[in-house]
Amino acid sequence: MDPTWLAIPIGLVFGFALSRGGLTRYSNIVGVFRFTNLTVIKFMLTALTVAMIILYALKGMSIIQFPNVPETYIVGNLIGGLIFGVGMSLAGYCPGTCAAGAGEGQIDYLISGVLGLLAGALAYGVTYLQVFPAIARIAYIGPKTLPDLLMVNPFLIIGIFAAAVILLFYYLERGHIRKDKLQEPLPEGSKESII
Amino acid sequence: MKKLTLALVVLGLTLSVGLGIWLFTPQAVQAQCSTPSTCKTCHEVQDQKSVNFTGNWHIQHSFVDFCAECHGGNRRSMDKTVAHAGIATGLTQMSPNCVSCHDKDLETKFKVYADPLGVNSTGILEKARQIAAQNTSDKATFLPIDPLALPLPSSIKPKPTPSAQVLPVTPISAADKSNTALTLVFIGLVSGGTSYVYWNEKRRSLLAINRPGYLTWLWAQVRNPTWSPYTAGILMGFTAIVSVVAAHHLLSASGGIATITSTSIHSVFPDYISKSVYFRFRIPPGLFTWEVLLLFGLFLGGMLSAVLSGTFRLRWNEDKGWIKIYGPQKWKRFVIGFLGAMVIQYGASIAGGCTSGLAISGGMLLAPSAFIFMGGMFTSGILVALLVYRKRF
Repeated sequence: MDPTWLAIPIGLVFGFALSRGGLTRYSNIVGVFRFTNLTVIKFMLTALTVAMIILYALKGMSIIQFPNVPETYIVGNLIGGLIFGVGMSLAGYCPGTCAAGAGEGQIDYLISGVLGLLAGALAYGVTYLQVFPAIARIAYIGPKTLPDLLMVNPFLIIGIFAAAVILLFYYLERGHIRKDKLQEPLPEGSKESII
Repeated sequence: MKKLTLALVVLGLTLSVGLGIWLFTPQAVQAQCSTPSTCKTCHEVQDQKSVNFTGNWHIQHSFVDFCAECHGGNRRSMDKTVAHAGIATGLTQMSPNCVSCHDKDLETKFKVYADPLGVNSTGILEKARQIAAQNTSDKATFLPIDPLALPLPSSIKPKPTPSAQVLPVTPISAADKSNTALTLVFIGLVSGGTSYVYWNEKRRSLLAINRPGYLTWLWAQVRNPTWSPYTAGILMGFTAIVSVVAAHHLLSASGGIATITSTSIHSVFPDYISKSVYFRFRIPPGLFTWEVLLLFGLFLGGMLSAVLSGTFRLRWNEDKGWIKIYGPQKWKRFVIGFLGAMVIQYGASIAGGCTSGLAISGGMLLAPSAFIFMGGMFTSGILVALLVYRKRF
């Protein structure tokens, strides 16, 4: 069978995981930017750690090769991330959770989200030549991984990463997290101000 | 103020990491699409005859994988003679190919390269336009799509060789013994930890009375709309692994959105697409590509999850956090959601992927871009949340 069609079952499990993880909810996405609800961090770091350990293990045993590594162009990645964060913090979804949330029956995800994403893709396509080539050339590194660049064993990096993640999860589960001010009424007479 | 300091520290750290690595010299982009041409594989990646920095014509056109657009040849074959069959060399010979992108300002663009080379452009360009016009009659017929099925805008068509249609599978290099040893240690640790947890849970469960059967427990999990993020995260991680192992693809979501946009534009304005570098070369239109099908699967997955847990219901934003901040008006959700989504897609396209395509897929391969992207995303996300929530942050 053409492996392209595997995209549907894989996407199905992916959407299921996003939905059950609670990533299709505005409060959970914004909570991570307010340090009051770290569901997204827990979800992403668990997925990353599991996937990187097993993928590098399979690669070390020469069972698989990586299909392609996302390219690094430091300034472009950083600027893209900064722009992305603005939208994510305002709207409370990202392209993947938008599709999964639309499937759950949330019409705002389907209408405003998907239309907005399509409009964004159109806007980018129209301005592509003015924006992308200039940004992608600054500090271009290419499709390299950290172990390639630092010339160390990948499991050194994975080990440090996994240890840091486990320590973080330990502290989070011990309750070292900010209290959500939205749960309590605002104090009397407090003025709203920018930052 | 404490939270402001925190946000600034995150910003400062991200910036200093970015600046710290900014010692690498800028390079031309080698291969951006998920299916790079074999030209780039041999010439640039394997560096057999790198041309990205030779001649202004290469430097100025090296931001996209377009060797074959100018030179012709077979961009899919790894065999040198097949790939090089009928390639055009020299400015005069290639001039019909310039027309497909630079039709309007052909004279000025041609002069830039023709003058230093001492090529006399009189007569060449008229002829080039004629040849190009003959070849563009089938321009609008390139759906459904493999980017490589685009019509070559040249009189020089490569000879169709059956064996040249499929890329040979790259042989897997010999196993690295130290990695194998480390892998075994990891597998030992993981299986040891799992068996300890299993043993411990079994020991503890003997103490509990009236514990439910496995099937009851499983059904309760199926009906539970919210799992622990750790469980869902492990499921997500395994999905990403299966995607790489079984389908040899990375997960992505923003790529599908861009492909759908490209396809829609192609069906409405087929002429525009042949002029747009982005929609023609980077994101060619297509209906049943990996990215689009994955997006469809994501939609179905959300639906399956909601139907199984019994929470499926058509609704318009009932999130309490949103209503407390922005109010219950529907138009506000529409406007902010629309603008936010637009910004999201724009940023994802610049960065080279979204949270699934870059942060998770790239992060699990330890690509530095993923961590830079996440740094940027959290920095601006925190700052915007500060602005929106103010006192209630």
